[in-house]
Amino acid sequence: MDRTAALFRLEHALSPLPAWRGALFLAGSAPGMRQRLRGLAGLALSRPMVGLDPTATRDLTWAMLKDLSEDRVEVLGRDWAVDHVLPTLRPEARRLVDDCRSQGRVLVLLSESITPIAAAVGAALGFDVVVSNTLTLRDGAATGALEPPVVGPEIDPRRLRALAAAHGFDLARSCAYGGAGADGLLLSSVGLPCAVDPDRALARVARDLDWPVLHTSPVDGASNR
Amino acid sequence: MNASRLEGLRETLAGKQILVTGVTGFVAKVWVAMLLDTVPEIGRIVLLARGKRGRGAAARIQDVVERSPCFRPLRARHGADLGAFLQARVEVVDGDLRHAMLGIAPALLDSLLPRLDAVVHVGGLTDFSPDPRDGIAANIRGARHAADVAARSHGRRLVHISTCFVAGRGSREVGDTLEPGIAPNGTRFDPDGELVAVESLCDAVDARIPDAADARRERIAAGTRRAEALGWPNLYTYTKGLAEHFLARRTDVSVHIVRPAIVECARTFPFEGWNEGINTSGPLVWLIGTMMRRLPLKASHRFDVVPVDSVARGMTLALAESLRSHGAHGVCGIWQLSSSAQNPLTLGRALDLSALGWRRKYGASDTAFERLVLAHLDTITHARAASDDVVLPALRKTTRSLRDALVAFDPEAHLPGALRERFGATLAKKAQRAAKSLGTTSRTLGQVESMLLAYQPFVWDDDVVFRADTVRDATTWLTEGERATFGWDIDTVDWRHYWLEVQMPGLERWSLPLLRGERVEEDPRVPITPPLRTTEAAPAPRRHWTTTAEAAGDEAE
Repeated sequence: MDRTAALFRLEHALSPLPAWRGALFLAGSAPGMRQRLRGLAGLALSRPMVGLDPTATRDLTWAMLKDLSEDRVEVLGRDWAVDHVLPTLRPEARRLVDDCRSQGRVLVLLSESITPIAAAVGAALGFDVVVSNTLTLRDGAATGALEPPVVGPEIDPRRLRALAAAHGFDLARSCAYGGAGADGLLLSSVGLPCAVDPDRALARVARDLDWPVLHTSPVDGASNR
Repeated sequence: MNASRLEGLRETLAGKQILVTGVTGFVAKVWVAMLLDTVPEIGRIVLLARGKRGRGAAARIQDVVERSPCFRPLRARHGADLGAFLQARVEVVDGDLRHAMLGIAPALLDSLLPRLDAVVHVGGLTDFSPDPRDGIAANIRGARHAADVAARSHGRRLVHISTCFVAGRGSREVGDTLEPGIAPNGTRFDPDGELVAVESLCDAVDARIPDAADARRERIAAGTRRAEALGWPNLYTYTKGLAEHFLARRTDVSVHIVRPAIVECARTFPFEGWNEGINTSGPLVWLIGTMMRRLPLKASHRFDVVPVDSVARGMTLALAESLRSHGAHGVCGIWQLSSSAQNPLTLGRALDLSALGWRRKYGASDTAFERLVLAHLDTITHARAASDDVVLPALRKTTRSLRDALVAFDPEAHLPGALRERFGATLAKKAQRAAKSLGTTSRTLGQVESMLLAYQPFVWDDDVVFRADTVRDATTWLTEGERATFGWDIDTVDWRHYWLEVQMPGLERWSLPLLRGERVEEDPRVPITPPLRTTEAAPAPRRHWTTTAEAAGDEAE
């Protein structure tokens, strides 16, 4: 494998907006008032649980989109990406993406968000591969469940190796950019890790392992985590 | 394999001469422009039009070619040479489809008939509830007159444009078929008898009601009852349906009946989004963008939308098939041009996509009300049919009563002396302004109520699947190259993309301004020289053409 890749985490590394904010936007845009309230209430209740059980919280978050039509998920997901996620992208992060492209690396975007959101961001930034979550659909409407394999806060190393094999890049010579503590696994899987605006947990790991740390300037109006 | 089908579509159409009616309308305009653009080998297209407001047929058609956005591709392709291109392929003949032999002067008929290979009859009335007299004249007599011309022409071929909705009431799957003399509800009937009956009904109404407007209203109501008795939901489908039954009895001409479903914005030709006039989905889409929250429609029902350029493709295939047959007579083919069987779009999905489209538009608006309120309103389906709805009529009556009360407000009579002197004039002015606004609201609500009632058979009562087997089969005979240009392409429509990127912007640009009482600007005039040619009389001796029915004395116009 003579190709190399640059793996970027959308949440935290490129944009400060967490994935659940996209779910909140979509749930708040359900067609009926009852459905909207149900989604918003569910999301509000799920937030305090995040420290206790991240997986259950994630499942509950996306379950709030149950019964949303495929059209709504696709269209509003894209709108969220274009109107909200892209404006919050850090200029330094954009430059990093451009630099990696000019080095001839395969650009891989990893996101906990659903595909319509991640794909729109990926298309806007010129990513070659987008790995994100897919909402299960039945009869043109979301069931609220995510199709396995699910992209969680931590990337499964086996999935990462499979991705590298499928696209023919060498992880040992690839670089990765993450910002949250859970990204430690991703960064330790590549030869050239870089922490972008790391949270306390990742900053500690980066310091211990002597990973480079990039501090960017915040974008106006972008809220964190 | 039918050997004649091996001939390419372009070769079939090359050098052929056809007469087209209804070219000032939406569908025919697109079809003619597309035919000229894709089959320049066509021999001659004779466009039948009638003079209007002191302008002759040629001037009207010249205006269409010079200004209609539909002719942009031709104007772009040929530039200054468009006049010469059209001069060789198009001519205009003065006529009126309501009259015998389409109202074409006998001398001109002498010149036309020996060279016509086919008549393509697109003209007609598309109002759901026209005056029965107008509906009969345009849709039934018009079709018969077109058949008369076709029967006397060299080719003896008629391609008649009808509608899928002649299938009438009842949820079911409808094939490319026609059972002559059998009404949609299964009643056996005689088209001649039916025509006499409905005309007698109109005569009786006229004799009974002296006021012209009242008589017209009553004629429409009586005609609609007559239509419903046979299983047609309205006068449009009734008159179009009767026309098909009349044509089915013709043995002197080969007839191909083309039945488009709901014709909407173009996907690619003449360009993305082109539409003209107020079509079926326009009022529904407009309604979804208003404060109206509940629509009486069933989300699971099919909404059989077909882009106009797909319809034009189907028409070209039907014409080519007609031209390939020699010596045939009677109904030789029925072509339903529909989406419900191959690539169905449901009303619920169309509603959802429309709401998303409005959300996008209002989300970017400068008006706070649109951005903060309308953008977040979603229309949902109502649990009651429009005819059972009590809210809308009550709302309309309330606004009207309020308006009447405000109109009647007189400070002199209704205010005590002290208040009158201080506020009387101001209040009177405000009351008049509010009354005017309430009057407009009441009228709009009335229009919405009528519209929803007119749509009820299609969006609430019946869920019909129209098969489109004939046009699909015809597509399989095309070569790879021809399929891209002429093939039936409804299965390639991505409804999400179509609705959000084509249909809604198209309606917003070309149709909704008409609903708001605004004008839609045509293109700046691009004069074409030489001007369109008109049909010239042949030197042959004149003959007086009469239809068989007129000779029997029962069809005097």
